[in-house]
Amino acid sequence: MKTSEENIKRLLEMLDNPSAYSEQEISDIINRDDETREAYRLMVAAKQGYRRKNTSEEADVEAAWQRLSNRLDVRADKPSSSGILYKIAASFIVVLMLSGIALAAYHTISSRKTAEEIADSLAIANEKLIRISKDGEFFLVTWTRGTWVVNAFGDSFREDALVRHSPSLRPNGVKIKIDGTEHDIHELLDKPASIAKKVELDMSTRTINLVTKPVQIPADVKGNINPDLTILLTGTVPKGAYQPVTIWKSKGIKESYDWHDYIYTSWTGQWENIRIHLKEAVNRKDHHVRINVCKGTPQKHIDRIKSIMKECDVTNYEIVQQ
Amino acid sequence: MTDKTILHGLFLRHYNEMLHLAGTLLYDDMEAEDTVQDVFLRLGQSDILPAQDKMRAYLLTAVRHECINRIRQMSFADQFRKLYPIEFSDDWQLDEQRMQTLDAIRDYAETHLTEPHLSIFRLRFEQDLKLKDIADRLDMNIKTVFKYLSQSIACIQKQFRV
Repeated sequence: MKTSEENIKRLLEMLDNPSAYSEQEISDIINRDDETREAYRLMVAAKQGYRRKNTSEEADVEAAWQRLSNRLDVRADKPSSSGILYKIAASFIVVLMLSGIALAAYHTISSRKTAEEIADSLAIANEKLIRISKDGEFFLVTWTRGTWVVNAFGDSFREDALVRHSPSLRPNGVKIKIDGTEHDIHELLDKPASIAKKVELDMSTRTINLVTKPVQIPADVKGNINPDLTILLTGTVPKGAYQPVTIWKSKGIKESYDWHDYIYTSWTGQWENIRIHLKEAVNRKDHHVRINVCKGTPQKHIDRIKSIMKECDVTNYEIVQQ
Repeated sequence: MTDKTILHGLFLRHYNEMLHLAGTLLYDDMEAEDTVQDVFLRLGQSDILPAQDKMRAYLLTAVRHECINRIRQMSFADQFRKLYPIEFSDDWQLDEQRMQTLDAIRDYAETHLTEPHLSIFRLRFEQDLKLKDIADRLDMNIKTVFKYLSQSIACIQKQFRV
């Protein structure tokens, strides 16, 4: 009993002065034995229990909806739909061709390709680096295809999406730096998204540093494009998973909520249906999906993923037994 | 994109429960609201909605995972200082069961701890005060505060495994 109370006292002392201890020391104390670990869990449960009691169950839902509505509008307002831009670009080319301007050499495929390229350029050119909601409470950071993205989880890759938005952020909650110097977001409203050559996301310090100088993406990172397209069928719950998942994205970037439908993108913090990624993929000319199947994965899981591929019109995929 | 009217309906129906869960896990009202709104934003961008009968479970699971994600993005020292869970076991799936345990622990403390143990327990875990501040407020020696709080935790620990 005395030992138990002493361990609890030590925990309490550390909680009051965490900066006096290294992470290793804290971890060592918490994990010293089952009893100390239990004591920490109990303290967490006590705090959660009081929070549960004191968190209002009746918030002003309409006011909250209005705030959400503003955030929805900031996303919806932006002219980022490459589909619409594609149509505009395609019409533009058609008009040029009808006008007899020197496009006679274009055959159908190349004109379509050009339309896509124009649409992509327009989509990128129209994107601003920073967008603020009407009420000024939230903003988005946007970057474009080819940007080198590094996050605090250790993921490092070349952005493959034409345009990528950060989650909505609060101006007073996140520091935005340009080449290491902090800026007020209002100073950056005119900057195009394409100025960001590298995005360094560190949500532990709530800092986003945007590197605008040319960067050389390392060879081993260049290969990390298109991280959405490798699916791992685990068959069983992976060690360390906090949900029973059997679809697991390589490198731990994605985790599924439900083995056949939902995936979780930890670096963006987004919950998404796996079909969204597959439908995005299938729109790309060079799409290719790889499905790694772990030993012991039941056939029904493989059949299920195949049916999703079919549903999403993904024809170019391979199943690789690991 | 999900139709805004549909989203509004889902928001009205599920917002309070989602906010309550996020508030319980994150200890911060503003963070909790941001978390729930982020879940709805993603739902708004999605073309496919979960089936109606799975919607509540989906939304609550999404909130819980968003909370875990936010906690994981903090440094280990911050997680510890703010008394967040530093491990996430499969127990987290059993949300309703866990919520009952949280209520039971709080109720047990409220009904079984005597003074000054209860006041110290509340000040530490409800008011989130440091032990030195508790000692000042109750005009006690800090060593006594340590002793009483350790006794309270050990006492509750005998009753619950969390």
